[in-house]
Amino acid sequence: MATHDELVEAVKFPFTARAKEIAEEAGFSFDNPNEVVLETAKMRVLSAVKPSVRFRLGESVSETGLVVELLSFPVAKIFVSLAHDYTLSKKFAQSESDRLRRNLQLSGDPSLYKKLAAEIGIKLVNGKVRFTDYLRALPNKKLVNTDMDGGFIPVDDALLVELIANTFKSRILSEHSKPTKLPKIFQIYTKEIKDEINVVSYEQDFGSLNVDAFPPCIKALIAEARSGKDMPHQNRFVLSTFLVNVGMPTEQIVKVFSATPNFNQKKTRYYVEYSAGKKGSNVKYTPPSCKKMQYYGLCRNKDSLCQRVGHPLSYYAMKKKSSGGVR
Amino acid sequence: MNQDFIYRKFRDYYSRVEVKAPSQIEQREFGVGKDKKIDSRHLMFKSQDKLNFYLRSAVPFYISYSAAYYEFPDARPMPNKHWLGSDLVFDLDTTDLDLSCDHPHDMVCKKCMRQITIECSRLVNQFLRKDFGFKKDKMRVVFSGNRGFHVHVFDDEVFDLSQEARREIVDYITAEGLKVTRRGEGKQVLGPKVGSSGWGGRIALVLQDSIENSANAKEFVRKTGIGMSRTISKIFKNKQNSLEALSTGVWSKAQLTEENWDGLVLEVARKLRVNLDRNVTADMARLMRLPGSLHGGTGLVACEIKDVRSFDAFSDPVVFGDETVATIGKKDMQFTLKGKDFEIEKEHKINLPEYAAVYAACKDLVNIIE
Repeated sequence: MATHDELVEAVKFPFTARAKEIAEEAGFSFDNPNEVVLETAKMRVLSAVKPSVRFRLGESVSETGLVVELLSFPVAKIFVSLAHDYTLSKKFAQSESDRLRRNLQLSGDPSLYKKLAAEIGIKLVNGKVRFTDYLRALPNKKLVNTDMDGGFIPVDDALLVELIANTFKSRILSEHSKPTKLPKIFQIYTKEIKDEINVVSYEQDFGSLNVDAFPPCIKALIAEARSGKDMPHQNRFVLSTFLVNVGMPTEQIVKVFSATPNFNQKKTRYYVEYSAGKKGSNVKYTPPSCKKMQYYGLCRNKDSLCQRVGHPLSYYAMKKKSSGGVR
Repeated sequence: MNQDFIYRKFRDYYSRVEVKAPSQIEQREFGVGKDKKIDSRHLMFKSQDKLNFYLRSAVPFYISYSAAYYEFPDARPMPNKHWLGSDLVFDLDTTDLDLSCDHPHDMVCKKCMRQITIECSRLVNQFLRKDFGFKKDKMRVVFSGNRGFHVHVFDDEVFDLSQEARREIVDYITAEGLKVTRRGEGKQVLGPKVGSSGWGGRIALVLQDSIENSANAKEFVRKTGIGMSRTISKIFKNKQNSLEALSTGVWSKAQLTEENWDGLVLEVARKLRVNLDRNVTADMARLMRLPGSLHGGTGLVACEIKDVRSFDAFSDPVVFGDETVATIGKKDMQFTLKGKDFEIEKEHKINLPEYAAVYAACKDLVNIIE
């Protein structure tokens, strides 16, 4: 049995071998999952997206409470993985890594940093790390300003905390393993999480625009942009011109693309402004007609209104009129 | 006529040599071209035999291969190739240097080549070996066949580095975003000590050396080529304090403000950095000239180089013979190959040895008469 201190440490640093051992001993059953754990895991995921959801670790005094907190981590990862939403994955990884950083800083214990660095796979040699480990954890921190020699970079306590927290983040992002057979309850929880998130992000991204009136092809493209998969140039262009034409502000359009891989805010903004005719040729582009969309293979999920229009923008105009304009 | 001539000569070359396949050839994408460097890409060759068979039968004027390794190198579009990893590559080209040669942009002279050779040697020794710690046997330097060098690093350590990480490596080598000073207590300005590692140590050492070995500001400016006379005068107002600043790392001991120091550091870094094509290293799908293949713009072979400093770009990569070829000049131009100077005059007939005729034809300086 784990001692109370061990349990608290496992809750705070769930990636250690000991934490995994304790979690295993606790005997969480995927076939017959404990609802309290599921509920806690859901809150854990939502806390990454909604500032109003508070989730703090290590606040339980009882051992049962601590075990629930510990188990909520792997379950939360499963929910995120089932959601297939890259923005959510990124936000979840970020919030877990922030939480870890805070806990490391609060402990203020350099010997703990060293132990955890080793556990998470950061090789420290005489207080230095390989530049490749550094770059993998901190790809945007200026390598040019380090005292690198022979490929090794000296590491102080503050940098070590950063390295651990960021390695943890990229590890969460790259992990995809989950039990192959999960009972339906996991899907139900994931759906609940997704529904709550969608309400949040539509409010953030589209303001008072009537998103419901968008044609199905455009809705499909938005889903594609959010899925985190690479988006072909053609698809980006169609989506961006459509959004420009319905009057969405540039900043919001840029945001729509923020989940795509290699997202570059500056480039995307230029690109959106280009299709809006504010940059380059000064031509305001319109999205392709339905006929062209079919030709590109982008006409998706056709509905009854689609039969009556020849252009995605006419679809929007008609639908908006019939639904009374503003939502 | 020229195209036919070049084609025949290239075909002869490819039928008499065996071009070595790049490592893991079955995971590399190839691109070939005739009029431009890459007319078509997404090609793959399963073996060295298949590659050489292609070279002999298709006779491309340019052939390059991917720094990247893919599961399906010939799949398209790009994401379907399934990227596995990439070598770390660097491209050094005389056009990235700030040279004051008076020949056209697409020609190279000894001066350009000497300068790019120094850059290449600094990249390999000062940066890749010293700072990054790459082993010599994990690196390969290749003459591009025209105006510069490609450096390839093959190391499992760098194989899966992201684009951002590769950009950081380029930023390091080009000193982009460099800042070595920081604020200490009160008005103290701290900087690297002589003897520290990385850029800071490199700059402190060069400054110490230049200050020690110059009698006054004028001499410092003349020796280093750094033209910040006002800042330099301040350094020499109290030379001893300035040297102490560099040996202790308390840079405010000298009579310089933090801004003075930062400006000076950037000037020194500009002299010590390596100028390279930043995009090539960050582009993980980049196609690089295949070592052993001919460059269609020069007829020179892109060859692997053991020792950069003893490499002669105007002799070593020449692969054609001495047989006389009659040509007519298309413009006035001079060039040197294999230690011989050639002077082409517009609309004048000139007999050239085959190797020079191939070069001049590829550069479109002459018309071949047959």
